Parts: sequence; structure tokens; C-alpha cells
Amino acid sequence: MNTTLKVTKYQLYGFYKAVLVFYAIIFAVSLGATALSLKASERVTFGGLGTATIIFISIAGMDCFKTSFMFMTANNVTRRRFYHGTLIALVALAAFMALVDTALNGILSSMFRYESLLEQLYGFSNYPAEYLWSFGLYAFAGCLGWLITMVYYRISGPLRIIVLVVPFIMGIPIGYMVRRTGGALGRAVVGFLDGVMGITAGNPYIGAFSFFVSAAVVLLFCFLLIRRAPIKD
Amino acid sequence: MKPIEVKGITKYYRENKALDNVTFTMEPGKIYGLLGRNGAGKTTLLNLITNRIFPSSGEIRIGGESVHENDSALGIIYYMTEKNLFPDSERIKNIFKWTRQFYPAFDMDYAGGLSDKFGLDIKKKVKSLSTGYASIFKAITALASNSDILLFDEPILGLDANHRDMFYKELLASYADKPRTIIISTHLIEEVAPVLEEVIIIKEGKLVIKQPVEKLLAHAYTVSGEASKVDKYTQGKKHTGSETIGSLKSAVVLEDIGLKDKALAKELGLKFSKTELQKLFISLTN
Repeated sequence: MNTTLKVTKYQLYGFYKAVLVFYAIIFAVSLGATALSLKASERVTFGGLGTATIIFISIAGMDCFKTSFMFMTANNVTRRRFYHGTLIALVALAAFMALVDTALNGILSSMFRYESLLEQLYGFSNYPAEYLWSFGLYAFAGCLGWLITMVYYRISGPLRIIVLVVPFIMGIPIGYMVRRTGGALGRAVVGFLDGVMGITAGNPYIGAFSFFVSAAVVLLFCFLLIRRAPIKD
Repeated sequence: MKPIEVKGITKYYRENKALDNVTFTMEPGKIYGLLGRNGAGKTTLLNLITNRIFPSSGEIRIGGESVHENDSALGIIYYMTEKNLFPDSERIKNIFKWTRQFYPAFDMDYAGGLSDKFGLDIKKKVKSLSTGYASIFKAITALASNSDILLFDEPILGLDANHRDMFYKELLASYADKPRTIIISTHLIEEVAPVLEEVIIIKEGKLVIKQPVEKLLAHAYTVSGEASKVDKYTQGKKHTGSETIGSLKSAVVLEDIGLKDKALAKELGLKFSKTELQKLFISLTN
């Protein structure tokens, strides 16, 4: 096994306990939802368990950097190997969780009225679309988490506070711009998102493709940040 | 075994120059002492050798290959840092297992045996170790890695006298079993001196000396006696430093003792004595 795959193995080892706990909770929630739907006299709808996976995988992405980077550095693993190994681990995790979620969605849909994220957005669902779309979304979320933690690692002092505060402060000028343009800016953004997600077109594969492209862009930034990352406290 | 070449290395931390155009070559199969006062640039140099930080200028090569993001050059080095780079919540036995993944020659039996000898409980988590046991754990990992080049940064930090003695013995036993390049950076010079073959002394980021210990000590001596007479004796000689207690003074001279010197010392009533590495270090870096 080459060093890259050893890094992947180490990262997956770091994920597996958290994944087990996460799915234990998800299965418990699913069982509870099933029980509730069977008891309910009226027709009830559940959905969107994928949101929990998005949050989970973003946190996994954030958590897979500092400690692992230090330990891999202790083992004289080069940054390039660490980058590739972590990338494979995050993509593999996204692929695995997309698979489990797609299967879970199928099971839940067969038992009661359950709507996955894809179905809520596009109004329909099938296994290949569900899997690819979730895979792309999870890969993007994981890589974004990784990028955030690396940005935070690379910057120091006052810049850290700026990075933390700016996303919240940005809401003010954006809100102002939306009002100034009479909502045109908001409509343009929604239109753009609709286009790249293929929602109006009813094509989730466009959305999946957009997620993969976004993940690739994020990964490019991750590479730029890690290539000269020093060991820090 | 491969030599380590440090070529014109300069390292800045913002405006602060940590290393200033340092150049030397370490021949393979020797035990080196990397000595210097606090902030001299020792850890910076070790971090640069292992590609953990980047030089502002210059290059470091191992066996002719640059260490920059180089798997083959870095794969033959194990660097025991003073700072803990291991996951706090991981058990020591698991760290050993993972280290074996990256250092296939890692000797699990040897690591287990050393842990027993030092009284290190490998079921413990890294975060639960005391400073001394954290050093022991890191030193064991380094020794068991079986790497061609071992770097130790303050390996005996927090160790009691018994454990320090054990460490030196194990280090020498390991070296006798498999000769390799070992670099030890420490402040406990007196203790480590018998282990060292060569010393590299750094002062304020500059290389002061790189010489075999034997040669360095053979060409240095201490002259002591009445202060004014010691001053008279050392006039025109290459002396590195002196110590005055009351009217008595001792000075370290970096020259061989000639017949003329012996006669002059006799005339002035001065005494010669051998210089210890620590004293020489203090003289050179003060």
C-alpha cells in the first residue's frame, strides 16, 4: 500500500466511529418516524434526513485536518501525500454515505410517505439520480468543511476574527443591494442557482455535476493552502 | 546511509532572522550533538531538515536529493519533536501500529520491550502522559522506527536521572546494533557529551563550529590562576571566554599547548586543565 492510501486509511479510521454513531441515530430517528407514521390517523410526510448527513460530513471535513496533519507530519508524510490521501478519504466517505442514504431513502419511501432532499427539490426521485446527486452534494460539503478549517489554520491573529465575522456582516450589504435593486439581485441569484442545479429543467444530473465541479474548485483552494502549510500550534 | 547537506540556509520568521546562511554537511553513521542557547535556531534547523517548515533561502539535501516534499528523502528520517504531534485521544499502542504503517521497519517487539523497561503503559492515551513519559513515548517511537536518520529535539525533557541514563544506554545499544545518523539537540550537554561523536554549535542563527568532539576538546584547554596573569597569558591567543571568581580567573583557549605556553604558564604560576564540552560550549556561545 502506498503512502497516499495509508493516509486515506488513517483518515477513514478517524471517521468510522463517528459514522457509526451518526447512523445509529439516523436509524433510530427513522424507526421513530416509521412508528409515528403507522400510528398517525392522518397521512403524514417525513423527509430530508440528508440534511443531517450534509451537516455531519461538513464537520467531518473540518475535523480531518489539524490533528491528522500533525500526526502525518510526525510520520514525515509529505503535504502532497496528505492532500491526496485526505481527498480520497473524503470522497470515499461521501460516496459511502450517499449509498447508505439512497438505500435508506428507498426503504423509508416503501414504508411510508418519505421525501428525500432530491424529491423535495425536483419533485421526483430515482436511485441513480438520488445517489449521484447526494454523492456530489456530500463531496462538496466535506471538501468545504476541509477548506474552512484549513483557511482558519493558515491565517492567524486578527485575520481569524475577520474570517469569522465577515460572513455575518456580509448579510448587511447584500440585504441593502437586494433592496436597492428591487429584488433583482435576489432573483438573479435564485435564477443562477436554479440553472446550475437544473431544478426547473427537472434534471438532477446537472445539479450533481455542479456539485462535483464546486468540490473540485474547493479542492484546488485546499491544495493551494496545504502546499506550504507549516506546523503550527 | 546518506549524508545530510545543509546549503546556505537562511530562515526568517517575519523580520526575525532565525538562521543565517548556515552551511555544513553531516556524514552518515555518526552521532551529532546540535547545541545552542535558547532561540539559537536548533529546532528551526531540525524542522527545516524534515520539511516541516520552509527555508527563506538555501537548500537541504539528503543523499543528494532535496528534502522539499520528497517522499524518499523524508521517509528515511524520524524526527522526535519536543512538541507533541500525536493525537491526544489515541492510545500509545495504536500510535505504534500507525507509525508502523508509515515506517515499515518499525519494530513492534522492540517498542513493546522498551515500554516495559521504561514502565510506559502502552494502553494509556497520549493526553494522560506526564511530560517525562511523553518524552519516553516519543523516544521509544523514534528508536523503534529503525530509520536511517534519527533526530531528537530535547529527548530527555522531564526525564528523571534513571530514565535519562536508560535512554542514553538504549540509544547507544540501538546505534551499536544499527549504525545510523543521529542528531541530538539538548541543553544537558554534560550528560550527552559522552554519547556524541561530533558537535554542531549554533549561535544566534549562525554556525559557530562543527567538529568531532574529540578533536574539539583535544585542541582546547582551560588555563586558570590570578586574573591579571591569565589575561597576560591569553593575550594574542584564540580564547573564547573566561570566568572570574574574585581574583581568580579561568579562560578557555582554543589552541594546542606549545612548549612556550608551558614555560609561560609556569612562569606566571598558572594551571592547565582539560576543558569539558559544556564549558567550551558556554565559552563559545556566551
